[in-house]
Amino acid sequence: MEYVLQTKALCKHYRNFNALNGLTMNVPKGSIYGFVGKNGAGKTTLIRLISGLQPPTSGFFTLYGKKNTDLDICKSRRRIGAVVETPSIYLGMTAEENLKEQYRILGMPSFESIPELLRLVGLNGTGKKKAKNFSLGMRQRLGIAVALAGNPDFLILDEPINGLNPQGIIEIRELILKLNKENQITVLISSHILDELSRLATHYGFIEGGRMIKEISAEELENACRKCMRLKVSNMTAAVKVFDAMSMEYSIADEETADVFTKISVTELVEALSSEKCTLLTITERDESLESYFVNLVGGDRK
Amino acid sequence: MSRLIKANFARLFKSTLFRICMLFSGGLGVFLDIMRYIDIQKNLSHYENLGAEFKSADGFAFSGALYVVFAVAAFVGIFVGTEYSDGTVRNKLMVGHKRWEIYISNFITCAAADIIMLLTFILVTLGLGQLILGKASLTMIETFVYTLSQCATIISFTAILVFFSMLIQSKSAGSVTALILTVIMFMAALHISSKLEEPEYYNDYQATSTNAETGEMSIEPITIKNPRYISGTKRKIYVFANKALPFNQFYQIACNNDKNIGIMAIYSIIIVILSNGAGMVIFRKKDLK
Repeated sequence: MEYVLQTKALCKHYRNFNALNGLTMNVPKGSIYGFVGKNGAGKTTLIRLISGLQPPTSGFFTLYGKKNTDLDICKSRRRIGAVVETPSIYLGMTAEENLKEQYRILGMPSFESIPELLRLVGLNGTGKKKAKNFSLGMRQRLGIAVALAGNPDFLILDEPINGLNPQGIIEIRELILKLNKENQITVLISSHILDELSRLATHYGFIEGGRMIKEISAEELENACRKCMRLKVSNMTAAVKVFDAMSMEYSIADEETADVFTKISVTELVEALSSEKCTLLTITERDESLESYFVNLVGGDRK
Repeated sequence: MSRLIKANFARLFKSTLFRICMLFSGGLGVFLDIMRYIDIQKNLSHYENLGAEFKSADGFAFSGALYVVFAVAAFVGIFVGTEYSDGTVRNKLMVGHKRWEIYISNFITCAAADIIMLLTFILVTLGLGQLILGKASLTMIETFVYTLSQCATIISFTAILVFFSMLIQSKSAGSVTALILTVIMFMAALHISSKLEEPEYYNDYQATSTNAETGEMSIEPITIKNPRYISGTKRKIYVFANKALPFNQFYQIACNNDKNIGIMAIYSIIIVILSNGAGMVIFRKKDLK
């Protein structure tokens, strides 16, 4: 698999605080990578490091194969666009002026594509209205437009839907999906609004205490979160024999626990297990969401 | 870096703050000319005795820099600070510009803006002064040399302001620091100049004897060592500061004192190199948000 961004044992220490503690992650090309973690887990710190706002204390990352210590890392950075925390826009300028300013910074020869970019983010009708008079959602979209000014292949969005109203959230979601599907832009989104992230992400990285605790694809996560019956049995070998005989879809969690995904008649199953001298100890219905998966992974409110 | 400079200048010429500062500089020139005109009309004979340089605008065209620098300080603090408050410095870094390029491009833009403000003041003052106060007393060459010297000084002053503004990641804190620094330097310049202007000795009179019959006192002039006169190493430091510090340079040019112009230009270059060098080294390592 080709990766846009890879980090290896990345650490960032502030005076009395370890924000990143040996973080290793891999962002596949073409993915929408949901970067999930509690507040203070280290999401924004990682984004600051990738964007070149801060240097790592130790460890390294590669961006399009270029190591962060390479002199030509700047060339790789030209392929990324990012919105870190708040949108980076001049509040005293209009949307168009902000984009013109970014085009000049990028050294782009003409402003021809600005109307199209404004249309893409839904800001084509803002005219002479200054960014300071924009709503939060409009500022967020303008921030994304500025990040998109250099036609990046990799877009980094830090909490892009924070503080947005439901309409704004939908607009940003649709924009991200459009950019990923139509423009083949790889997107890294950090968020702790898991429900929203689950509608977008193709890959997930779960971070806690500055460490990556799990990287998983959306497909794998879906399997892990499928509605199922969790059975606790006295004899797993016998139980497997029964599951196979009844053509059930299942997965073994441990020596005495199995998840069964097929709709079953509990009576029939208990009878079949009994005949194999296996006792059904407990049976619970499981319908895990990304949220509960995350909570299970990081251990709820435990620090 | 040319892209950054181009972008900065585009922002500069759109900036309301820059326009306000320009209005202040030009308006100050008009104000001083009109006030001098009114004063001359009221005290014509007094001005006749003072001489041509007091009647023409070039007597105060170079002292206005001492006030223009307050606009300069506010401008640099806000112009550079906006990059942090609006977060736009990130846009420059994230697209691959190097930190030293960002630092130097900001310095170049601010220095150019400050020179424009200063020249606006000088040109308005001299131009209007020529019309309402009369012919300039300075020659073209003198005017050119003083203007050039003030430009060099304002560049070194800008370098100091940019140093603080780039390293303080807050528009309000950066602007306040720039203004406080300006006030401190202004006060320091007045203090240093007044100390250096103190004479080593001053004349006084002393009663030497009293005539017993008439009771008249006999008084003789004496020379007394001035206790406020500074000497030795302290004086050397004061003399150095008087030549090196931007406000002291402004003050000397304002007083049409051109004897240190050469050395002052060299000190200005040294300040620019040291401030920008130190600024770039610290900014290179700085954690940005």
